[in-house]
Amino acid sequence: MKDYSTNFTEKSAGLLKTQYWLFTKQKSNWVLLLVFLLSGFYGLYQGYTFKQKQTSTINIFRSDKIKNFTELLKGFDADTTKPAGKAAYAKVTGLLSSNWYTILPAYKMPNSTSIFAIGQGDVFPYYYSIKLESFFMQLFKQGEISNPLRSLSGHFDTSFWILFLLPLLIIVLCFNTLSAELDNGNWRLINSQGITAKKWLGTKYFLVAISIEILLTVLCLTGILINYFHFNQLPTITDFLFFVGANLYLLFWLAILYFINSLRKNTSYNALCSGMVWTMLCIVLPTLTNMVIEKTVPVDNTNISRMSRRPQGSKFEDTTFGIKTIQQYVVTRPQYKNNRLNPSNPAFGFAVYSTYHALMDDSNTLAVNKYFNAIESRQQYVNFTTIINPAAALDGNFARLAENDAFANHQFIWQSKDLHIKLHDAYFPALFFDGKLTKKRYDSFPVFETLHHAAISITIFLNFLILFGISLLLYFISGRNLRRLK
Amino acid sequence: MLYKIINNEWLQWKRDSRIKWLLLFLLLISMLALWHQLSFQSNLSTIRLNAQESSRKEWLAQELKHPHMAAHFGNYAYKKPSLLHCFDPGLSIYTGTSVYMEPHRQNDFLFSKSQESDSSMRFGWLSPALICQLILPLLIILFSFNAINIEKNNGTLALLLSQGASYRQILFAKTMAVFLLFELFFSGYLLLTVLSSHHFINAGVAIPAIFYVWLTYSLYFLCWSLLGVFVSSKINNVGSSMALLLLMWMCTNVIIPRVSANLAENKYPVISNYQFKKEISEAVAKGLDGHNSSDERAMKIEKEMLAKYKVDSVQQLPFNFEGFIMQQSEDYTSKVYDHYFDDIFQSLKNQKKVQSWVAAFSPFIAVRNVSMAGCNASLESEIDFQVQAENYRRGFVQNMNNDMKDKSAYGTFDTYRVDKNKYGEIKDLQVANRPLTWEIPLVLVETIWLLVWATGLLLLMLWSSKKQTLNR
Repeated sequence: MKDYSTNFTEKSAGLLKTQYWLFTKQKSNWVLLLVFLLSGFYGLYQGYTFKQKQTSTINIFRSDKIKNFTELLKGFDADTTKPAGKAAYAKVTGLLSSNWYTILPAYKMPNSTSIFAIGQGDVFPYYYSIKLESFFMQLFKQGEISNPLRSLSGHFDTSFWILFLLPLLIIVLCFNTLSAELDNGNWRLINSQGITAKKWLGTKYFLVAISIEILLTVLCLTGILINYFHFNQLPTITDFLFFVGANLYLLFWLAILYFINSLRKNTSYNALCSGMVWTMLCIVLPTLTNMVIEKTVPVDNTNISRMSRRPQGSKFEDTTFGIKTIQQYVVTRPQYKNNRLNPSNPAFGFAVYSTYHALMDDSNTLAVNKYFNAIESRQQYVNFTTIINPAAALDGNFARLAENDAFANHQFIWQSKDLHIKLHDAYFPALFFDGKLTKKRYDSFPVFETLHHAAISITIFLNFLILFGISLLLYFISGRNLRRLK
Repeated sequence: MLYKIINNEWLQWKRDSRIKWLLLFLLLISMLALWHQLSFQSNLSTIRLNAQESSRKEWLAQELKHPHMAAHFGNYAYKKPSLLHCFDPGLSIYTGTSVYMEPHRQNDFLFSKSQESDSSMRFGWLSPALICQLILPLLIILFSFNAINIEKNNGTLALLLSQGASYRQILFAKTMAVFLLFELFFSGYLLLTVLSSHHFINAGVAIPAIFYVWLTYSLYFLCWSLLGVFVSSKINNVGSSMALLLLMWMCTNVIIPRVSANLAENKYPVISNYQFKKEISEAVAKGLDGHNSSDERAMKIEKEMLAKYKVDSVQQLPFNFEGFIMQQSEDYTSKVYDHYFDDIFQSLKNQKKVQSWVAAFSPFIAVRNVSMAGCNASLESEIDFQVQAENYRRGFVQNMNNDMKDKSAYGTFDTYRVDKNKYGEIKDLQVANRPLTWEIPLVLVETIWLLVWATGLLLLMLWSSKKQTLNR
């Protein structure tokens, strides 16, 4: 048994050497690998550029807002004996002026994996200015400038490189591994030396896998280093899962090519078959799945799109309407029940306006939630379609890991909504009881911090498992096919 | 002879069961794409019509208030799908579909289709245009990759030549066989799309645009048919010719468009919305040149008016100065917006220009841009919609401010209310689609590239057949 296994290992090593010799003999293979490595770096550079733009915009946005807020607070220390100081003090303590000048920043700092997958990062805003008025009124007015032509073309990021280009490299390197020998009539000679088709293919695929693995690892490590040195971000579990996903996808495509070769058809058939499989998996199935999902989960923004309309006018000057609105508001916020507001109070009109906006948000939350849920369901379905639609499903999962999908965008919006609620909690006591803002009150104003929700879900693990399972099944079927080839 | 070879090709395909399956697949996916777009666009049309109606009702139902406050209640502009959007929705799915219009500011266009879709939109959105731009060339490759080399390998080429057909005739007959088959399919498909769109969507039929789209795609299919037959005539190994054609398809249709988009964005970056808004608010406050603050501007206008009407105070003016100054401020803000928007639009157009030139290496980019223009879904038509909406906003706000200026007295901001008929006077925005003559010059470079591709390949084939004849 020992002799047999030693013999087997020696034979395999010898065959590997032969395959290596055949592989390196063709200069085109080296050129191909180099071209793919360079294109991979280009993809990484695009991810870096995108992340860099987001980060620098957020930094400017945040520091401007903080600067303005700090400037406002200086009014407390102003010399009120002078007109300018008096104005600054009035500005910071006045309810209306404070509302006008208090604009809090909310932003979604890109996570470490976003350097690899831009996903839908270009279609969603990643920063919002938050004021006291209706949250949804503000939300559905703010977007980001982007070139639609750019979105139509798609991104050339690492995710694209892995999902679209790596399979091409595998196809080019492997599509005729066996058929070339069969077509040339060399197979009989190879086979006569005790080399089975399974071994021949296995060693070649091992070599290709190692070559691509090196490319993948170099790229991922470079990304991690850029994150560490440029963005001050340590590697995270999402980076690791991205790497695992990419490897499983590599395994999956090797299995497909292994299967195509195991059918023992000629080179022309293999080229046709590989090309068709690539087109089906990378173009046709994702678009078809997208179509089915859009039909299954309809999304209607009719009501949402009009939430940006500003309610203001004479009704807020109507005392009866005002009292009714405030009464309605305190039903859900009993802490303001014993407020000191009355129609003769100068803050009354503004309190009516603000509470009306808050009540509007209360009633709109359900509709927005429903709207967001529908969009998230679409994404959830795509992420679950690995078995029929592996490329798009993995792309969805990559975008999930990079927090560049609808889930992450909606999480960010709800985080911003929390900030808005906290702003109310800090401001409303002044409006309802104090009649002015104090320094202590300002100290309780919220500060936004991006919370990176662990994007790791059971869906991702299930996807990986399915991808691995399909690959194993393909290897198993191919093994059976190959056993029949003498 | 030409006709005979074409007929023979078609007969062979008719007998091949694999070809039948391929055509069935094409038919199925094409019908699915058409159905998907018809259903989406007609639904969208209904949704937007309802949204516009609801918005109108809300506008009319608002209580009587000060005209400027009523203007702040705002209006909405919705872009309605045009007939050919069912064929090629183009950029309309990536741009906002509605905008909220209010005084003092231009809001962003939001609720794009891409924001409501899952990430698989990155792979393309199923539409008849996607089928024609991506899938049909692939099928043309499958029909042409072995057009000549298989005849050479089987020895039937010599037989054909011996029957009096010239090599050039064979090449062109093979090209025409593939081209005519797909041209026939495309013509029927386009006609069906137009007729069914007309039935489902209440939009006018623009015959010149339809003809232009048909012509463009025909050129595109001719390019791929010529390329397929040319490669098969040059590479004797059937597998290699297939691999090369597939690689060319992947490069021109998948890789180059993305690379060119990235290159364009890197060369002409667009500023962030925050930076844009910041610059605008600074320019409004301090003046476009930084030395003409809003207070100074107001003072200057006041002085001018007092001098013009020879009065001592604004109260004595024959109109409400508050309304006048409000509109003056609005006009200045519009000037600032125009200044900064021009920069953005210029960046976007420059990005497109880069892609237009890269189309020299990718007929896909050329046909995509021309098709979008023909179907009124190009970058320029999206910008045009934004400009039309903005012009409407300015007119609408000016109308409300003029009401304040002409009908209310100075200092009555809190008490003056508009006439009840005023709301009805403000009509909804009617977006006008531009004619084809407006669109064609915008895609002239792409059209030229398509012509260059077709002519170049034709000449290449002529030259190649001549050389081949000489060699024999």
